[in-house]
Amino acid sequence: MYTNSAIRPLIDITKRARETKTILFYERDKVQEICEEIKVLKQATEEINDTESTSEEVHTSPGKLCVYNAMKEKELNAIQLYHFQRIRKTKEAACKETRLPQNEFNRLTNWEQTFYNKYEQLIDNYNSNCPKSLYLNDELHVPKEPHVVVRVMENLERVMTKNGIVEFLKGSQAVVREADSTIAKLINSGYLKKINK
Amino acid sequence: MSRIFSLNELGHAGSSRLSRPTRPTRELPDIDLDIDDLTDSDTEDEKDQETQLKDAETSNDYEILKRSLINEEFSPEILMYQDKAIDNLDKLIQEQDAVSKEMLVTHERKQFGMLLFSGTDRIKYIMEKYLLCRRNKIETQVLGILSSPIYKERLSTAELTHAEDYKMLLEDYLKAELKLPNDCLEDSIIKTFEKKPDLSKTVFCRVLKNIVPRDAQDTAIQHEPGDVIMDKYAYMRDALKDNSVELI
Repeated sequence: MYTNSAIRPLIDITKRARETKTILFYERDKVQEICEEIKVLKQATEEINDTESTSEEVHTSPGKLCVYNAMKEKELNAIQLYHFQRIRKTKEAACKETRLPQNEFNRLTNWEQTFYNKYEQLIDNYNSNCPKSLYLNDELHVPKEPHVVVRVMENLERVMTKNGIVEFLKGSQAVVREADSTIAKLINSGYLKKINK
Repeated sequence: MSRIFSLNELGHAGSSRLSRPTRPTRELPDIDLDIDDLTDSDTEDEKDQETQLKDAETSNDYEILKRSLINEEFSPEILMYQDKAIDNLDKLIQEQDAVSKEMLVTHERKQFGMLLFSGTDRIKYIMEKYLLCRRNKIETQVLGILSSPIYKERLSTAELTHAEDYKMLLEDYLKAELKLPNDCLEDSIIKTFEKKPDLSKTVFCRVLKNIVPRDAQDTAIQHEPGDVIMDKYAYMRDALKDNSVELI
């Protein structure tokens, strides 16, 4: 039985994943080891229950059952924590304006990649049903001034903003309205960089 | 040796007195005005009143939404969706955006346009934060919300659709990824990931209307408006629903 020797590394990885900004590789081997052990424990529990129900002598082995159930619960918790952390990271990545870089996207499992794509669609559907003047993004900040000074990082031709069509030249600075959804997207994507004064 | 001077002594200190300039007195103009002279027509009065009412409603919607946002952030459960306030503020934002664009074109009115912009931005921020707070809460408590008709009623149409789609997405993902026997987890696979609302969480509330304290045996003792009280959320729930308290 592995229990602690299998759970501890997974919990450490979950903690590390919580602190890092990027998505880490999926620990398939560790998760499979724990799943196998849960199945073994389940079988053992069933055998004990069958033996007790069929035999005439009452063999009370509550201690064994207790231990097996406790181990199973511990392992289930570890797996749940790990997957919950990964779901949270995937959701955060899907809510961002820029698509996940390919190297990080490849670290997701096939099912996680499907989850990522479908969740992105879900967010788009939700935003389309909300008032059109709003720009729902997880990275909100309190508006202090109507305009901000930005440095243009890439050439952008004919950007349609609420104030009309604007052209941005790389290296130049511009005064823009951050609340404009187009400008907010460009800032989040890295095409424009806010200059703090 | 030092001395303590009195105000009178300080005032008379020195040979010259500082003379303070006095405010010029204005005489009230001698105009004999009749109430009818003040207005040209009754319709202008009505228009003014309408505008004032509209302004009052608008600021009311903004205050309602701001208050709802704070309540939503501090409450462990999902609260009622403020659809009227959101719709009214959305209309206001669109009107204000159109007006401020026109103002920005004119040089003289540019600064007023910028002021309107900053006002619009603040309203948008409150609306966005409110919707995002609710969306996050829905996603963390999706099973609990969808299984309770009371909570379902508190969602908007868009939020209900989002909750149902999200639940399906999560179930499909977890069933496919976690290859475990079904009876190892609870009834529904998501229950184990669910974050249940902690109704025994302690909250701070500001009293808006007179309420009788929970432990008071004498109903004459009441919390008065402006009092700040601390209690479990489960006991403040009904008062919050009646708008007798607000969370802080």
